[in-house]
Amino acid sequence: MRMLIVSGKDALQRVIGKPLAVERAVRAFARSKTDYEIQFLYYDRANSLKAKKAKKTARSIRQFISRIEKLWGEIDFLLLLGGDRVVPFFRLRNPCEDSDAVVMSDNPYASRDNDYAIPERACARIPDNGSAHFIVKQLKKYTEHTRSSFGMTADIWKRASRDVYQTVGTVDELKVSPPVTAKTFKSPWLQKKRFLYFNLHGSKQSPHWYGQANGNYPIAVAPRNVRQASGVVATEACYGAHIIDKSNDDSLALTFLKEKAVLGFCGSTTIAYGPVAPPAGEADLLVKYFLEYAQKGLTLGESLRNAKVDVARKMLRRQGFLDDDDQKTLLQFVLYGDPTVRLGDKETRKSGDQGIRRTKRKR
Amino acid sequence: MISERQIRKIKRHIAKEFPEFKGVQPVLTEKIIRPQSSLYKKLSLGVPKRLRRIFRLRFTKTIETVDHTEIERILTVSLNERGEIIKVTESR
Repeated sequence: MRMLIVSGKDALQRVIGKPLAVERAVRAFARSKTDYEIQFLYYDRANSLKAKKAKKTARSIRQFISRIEKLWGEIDFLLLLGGDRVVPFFRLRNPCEDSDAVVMSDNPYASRDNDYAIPERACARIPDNGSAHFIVKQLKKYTEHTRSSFGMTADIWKRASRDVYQTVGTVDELKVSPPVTAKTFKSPWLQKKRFLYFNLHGSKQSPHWYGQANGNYPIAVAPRNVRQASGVVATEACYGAHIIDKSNDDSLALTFLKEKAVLGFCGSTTIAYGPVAPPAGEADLLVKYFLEYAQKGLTLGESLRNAKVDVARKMLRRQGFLDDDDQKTLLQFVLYGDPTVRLGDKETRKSGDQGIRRTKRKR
Repeated sequence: MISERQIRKIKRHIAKEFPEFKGVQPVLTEKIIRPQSSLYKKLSLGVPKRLRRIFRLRFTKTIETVDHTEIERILTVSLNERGEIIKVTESR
């Protein structure tokens, strides 16, 4: 399996200072991934493959990745190292008539052709959060050996959420907001978990996710609730993965990723859509498939890629076409973290060069 | 085209099922969806057969959360050519 890790040296330096620690961590990460052939390249520096350098634009970096693929061979996994100021998100036309001017997406990086909605490569991004330490931490995560999961939904989407959450958890344990709010939220709920699932409201302006019932929108989760969380986060919240000009103080995505045992974060960069009740569609369906694949032991990168392919296939079969909401869903969901992390039953639950911490398995 | 009578019926349905959208005037759009041949080909699904004509009634409302954050709530009802509801989606 080939994996390309790509970043921009000038941009990275401007954001985090000297990237020596990051480079060291990437080298250690690459050494630990013995099943992968890995290249770490800066798009703005000369490289061993003699591929032409790229400018700091999404289009130019995508062309750079294509050039690398021609010279090196098919890239299975792609890891974008840095946030929007280092490796810019694509700004794609928004298929929906809503207030998002564009859809921030990594899909074009993952696609070889111009049908961006359906990616071919397993792709993820490690955001920088303005800190070398944050990036290094993402490359040195560990996971706890556990089978239990956590799920939380807005009251109005209980039925739809149960359909998704049953993939990884017991539906009776799904927390509902309201009555649960950030004030009554217990941080231990997030500890020693395999998957953390959220179907709540989100906003571009606010660091919180919200519940809903009878016209009330209480804060369901706040950054202060995230303490010693673990596992893989999958959220359907609008702007759940919006990180531009954000830090871990005002973005739940970055707050979760700062946790040493949170292995990955899958969410939407813009306004997301879903049904009120089953059958699952849009964000519900995408997250459901993502959880299913990750639960089966595929890597997180493959899980998101396969989920997108399956959503497209399902909706084409169900409706005969992909409508605006479907297309936006496929473009807006991104994965943060190491795309090669796997939560299967094998002994391969590590990311980077960290060991596995074991907890008692439930009988 | 969808008739006024059909729109009134859907509005009544939405007001009943989603009281927060009661009184919201939806925006009706019509969309012709051409066969998405390249997607079908990429997914090895055969060939799409025909143009599709769908209608969408979009209900939009701005709500305020408990911490005074404004969120745009969007509820979309998709209808087929006969005016039957294909799906109802909500913004998250």
